Amino acid sequence: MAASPLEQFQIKTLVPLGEVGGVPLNFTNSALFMTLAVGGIVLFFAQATRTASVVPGRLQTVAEMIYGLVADTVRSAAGKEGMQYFPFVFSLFCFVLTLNLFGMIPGGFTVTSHIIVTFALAALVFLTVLAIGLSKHGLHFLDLFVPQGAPPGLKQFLIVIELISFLSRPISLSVRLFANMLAGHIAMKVFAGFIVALLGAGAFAVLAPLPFLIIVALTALEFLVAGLQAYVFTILTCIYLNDALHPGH
Amino acid sequence: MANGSKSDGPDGDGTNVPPGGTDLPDRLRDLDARLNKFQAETGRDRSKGYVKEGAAYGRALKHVSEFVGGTMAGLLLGWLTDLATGWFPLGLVTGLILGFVTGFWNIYKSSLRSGGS
Repeated sequence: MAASPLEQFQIKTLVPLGEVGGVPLNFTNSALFMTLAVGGIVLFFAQATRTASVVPGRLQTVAEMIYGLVADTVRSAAGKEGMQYFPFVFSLFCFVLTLNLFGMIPGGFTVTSHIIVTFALAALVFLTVLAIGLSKHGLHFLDLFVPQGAPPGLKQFLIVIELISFLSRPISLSVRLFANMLAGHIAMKVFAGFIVALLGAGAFAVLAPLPFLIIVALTALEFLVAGLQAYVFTILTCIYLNDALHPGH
Repeated sequence: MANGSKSDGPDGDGTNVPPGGTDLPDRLRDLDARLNKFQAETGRDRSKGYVKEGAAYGRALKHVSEFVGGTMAGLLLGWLTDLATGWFPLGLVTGLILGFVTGFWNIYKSSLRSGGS
């Protein structure tokens, strides 16, 4: 019996750690991959910067490229003041990128295909932006919701819309990452299932290489999506940070 | 080694003059200019093209999630209003409609943003 394409997203308990207030607290495969991701990031950057030299080696070049990419993004989207939040944005980018790429390992688990994980990350961004905005600008931060140059009747309506729009940010941020990862991995599993089904269908087995070719292309696409979605998550974080730093535009 | 007077001494009759002259600061400046030119021609353009390509692919998904996000936020807000006040269908319906409007507003704003930069 072919496995369901959704089976890969199942949370499995690896080490039960008891209960807290009636809620089971377990070390799951999701937690395992998050731990592996953090460990991998720390190991990678420790190794890459261990023998830091003026003429970088291979690992150092990769580390510098990641730094440059995120630094450029922060500077262009949030301005010079945004650079004080660079550590936050950089950690976020590395974490999401590593989780996405770990999901590409056959048999691996894609943590970012669970909306609760992406929503937690997006909520972290949202609350950070809110805290920065309110602490830097006080109530002036609320000017963000007042559209400039709108006629009086429309203005009140647009304030409501802007408010809902602001609240929709963590939702759209998390849905985007989650939907991309989920859809990609389901598509790959479905086409992989076609190969097995065709091979087992007598003369139709000659068609089996077709879904295989699609799988090869999809795998390449998924690598692109993994990088791209981590980047999109980062650039939107920067755009929201920019709103918190300069609410008046 | 002294620079100025003995610059073309041991090497012979000054046929081996590097581009940009023999003066060290001048040569450094020349190297700087050439490096900048090289980077302007190759590195910058390539990275920009890559980002542009990725942005084009991501734009469609971005607009969809902006719309879904707006709708869901409106729906959630309406539902919470219902829970708080007990006007059951009214808040949900109003929230959904406002959510739709917000969704389109989000798309409008995000397309302005990506078109502008």
